[in-house]
Amino acid sequence: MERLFTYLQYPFVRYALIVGVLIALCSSLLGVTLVLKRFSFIGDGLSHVAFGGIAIAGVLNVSNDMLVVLPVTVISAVLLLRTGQNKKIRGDAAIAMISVAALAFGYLLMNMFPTSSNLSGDVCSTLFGSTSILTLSIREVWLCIVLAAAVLAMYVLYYNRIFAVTFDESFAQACGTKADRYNLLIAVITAVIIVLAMNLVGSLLCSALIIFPALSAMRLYHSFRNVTIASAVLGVVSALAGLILAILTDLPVGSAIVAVQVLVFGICCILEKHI
Amino acid sequence: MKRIRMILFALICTCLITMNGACRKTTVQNVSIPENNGSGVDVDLTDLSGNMVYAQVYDMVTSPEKYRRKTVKMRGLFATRTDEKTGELQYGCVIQDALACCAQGIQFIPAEEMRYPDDFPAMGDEITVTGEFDFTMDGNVINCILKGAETE
Amino acid sequence: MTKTKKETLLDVKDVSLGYEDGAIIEHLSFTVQAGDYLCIVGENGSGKTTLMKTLLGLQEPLAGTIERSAALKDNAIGWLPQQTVVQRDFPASVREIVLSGCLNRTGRYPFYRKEEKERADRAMARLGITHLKDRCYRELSGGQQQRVLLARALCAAEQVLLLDEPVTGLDPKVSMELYEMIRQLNRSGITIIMISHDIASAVQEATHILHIGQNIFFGTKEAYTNSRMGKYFLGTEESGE
Repeated sequence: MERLFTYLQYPFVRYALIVGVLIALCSSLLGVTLVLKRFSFIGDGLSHVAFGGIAIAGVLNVSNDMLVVLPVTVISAVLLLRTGQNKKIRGDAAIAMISVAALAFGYLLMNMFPTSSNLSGDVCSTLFGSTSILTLSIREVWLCIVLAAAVLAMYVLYYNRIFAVTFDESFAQACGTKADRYNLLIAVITAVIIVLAMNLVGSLLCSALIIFPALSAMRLYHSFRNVTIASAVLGVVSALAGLILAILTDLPVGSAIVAVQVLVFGICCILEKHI
Repeated sequence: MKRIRMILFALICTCLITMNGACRKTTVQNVSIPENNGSGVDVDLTDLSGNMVYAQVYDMVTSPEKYRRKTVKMRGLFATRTDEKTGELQYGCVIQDALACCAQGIQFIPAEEMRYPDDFPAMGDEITVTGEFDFTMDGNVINCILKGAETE
Repeated sequence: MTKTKKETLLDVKDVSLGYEDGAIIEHLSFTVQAGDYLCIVGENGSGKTTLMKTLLGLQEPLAGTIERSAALKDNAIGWLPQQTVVQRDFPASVREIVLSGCLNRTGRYPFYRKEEKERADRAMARLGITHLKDRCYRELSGGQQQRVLLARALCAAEQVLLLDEPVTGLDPKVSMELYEMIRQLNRSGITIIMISHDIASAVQEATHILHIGQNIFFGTKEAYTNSRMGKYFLGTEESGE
């Protein structure tokens, strides 16, 4: 405990905790909608696209890779989350296609145009998060705070519409709600959150941040509002616990957080049987 | 329900504002690096967990002004490198991250005369280095060094 | 007996429905008056759901016009769609689902006001599901879930209800109860338009029948029962084929 207190004196530890909590909060809120719309693998798909975006940014020698990564990921999110209406390519097949293609081309580009001496290190760190969360600059922390605040504000304001569009999109549309617009909003917010979450757990584990808190909450609660709140709480608590565990020991950050989330899910399953 | 929503929103805003204040405070003051037990070492990395060491070294390498003239003690793996321009053999202490896929190192200059390879451990062996932190700028590249280093 | 002229709510004139590859229905014309109970029947694939989607404004007709009365604005039709797999397992309380029918009334305001909550409470009371309001939707029986969705449709609009095969998958007793509920709603002044596979029940409940398929028939149920088409389809059913 004392050790943790000492560690909290370090600014990069405080930054990590702030950003970790905000990312976990946004991911778990959105996770409820994505899981219910059967888009659980969107986290994986979009994070691979973001990986591809990072590769492109490196090749083009863009100083701030967010300028490339964010737009590319947002566009992919919009395309993927709307293919539900496309009869030729169903949702899950589209996600799988874009996901592996982005990963393959990203790695190919990085190999053909290497921008750093430690290529495998860079790739590994992007895929697994490595210690990226502990090496954030103050500017990155601010960016994260601003984006997270925007996401939260929009979620709260459009909560009822997001619920209507998640439960029954055609009904909402028949009543005059512009379902397309809210689907677009959900897609954009998802993309932003994925790009931020890559810093926390890396590309490969992004899905976990989205799906585990939502699934755990659904085991225990019966109204959409309670599921949403529980998902947010569980997401934040497991991210904090995982982060602190990793900081105090030698465990990798991303895997520690996901391991805690799986544990929490297991506990919720057991509680469900006994309540 | 409306009340709960308002409370939640207020809580979130308060958290954001508090954190904002905390961050602002940090950037204004000089970063306070926790002092150790007066053993003469300002930054003792041997006492930290793996992830913390990596993060701390990253901080030292990217914001070296904060650490100038501080005594740093670190434990890592021994490595050598030949300077392309001068042909000089340089010694370094390398830290790897938890997944062992990324590494960073800091060069050290021994205090006493040491002969390579007899007085040094083998490449990749563990080494503890205590020295005074300093850095030089070579264009845009920052070179960090531990001067007057004692090794174990 | 004084006959008050009933208001025409919907006037469908010479409409063709379908998709880009072709029309499923052509030259369809019928009217719906206030207080009617219209059943739309026909074989599978005859275009009943397409017609419903067009009436709701989710699809444009390929040709022809659909005139709505001034009293019936675009979003004043309550809809009871067929349930999707996703919905059966949805973690939401009954109250949340019924309230979502009031969404079009909130305008730009992000939250539900007192009026909308009271409206939802009234709809639940009307359908006899107030005691279920905090229950989880996925724990309810098929019949109860249909009542919840019907309450939601009532929240959306109180003049016209469009029901898409409401008793599919329900056992006979529950079906009868649901038909009784719909009958009561019609008696209280709500216009009902119902798609049904069950021609026998349709003829029993409705005031008007619209039969679409190879031949189109629109008229009162008496006219249908006496028509050649009606006799054919009802006769088929009676002989147990």
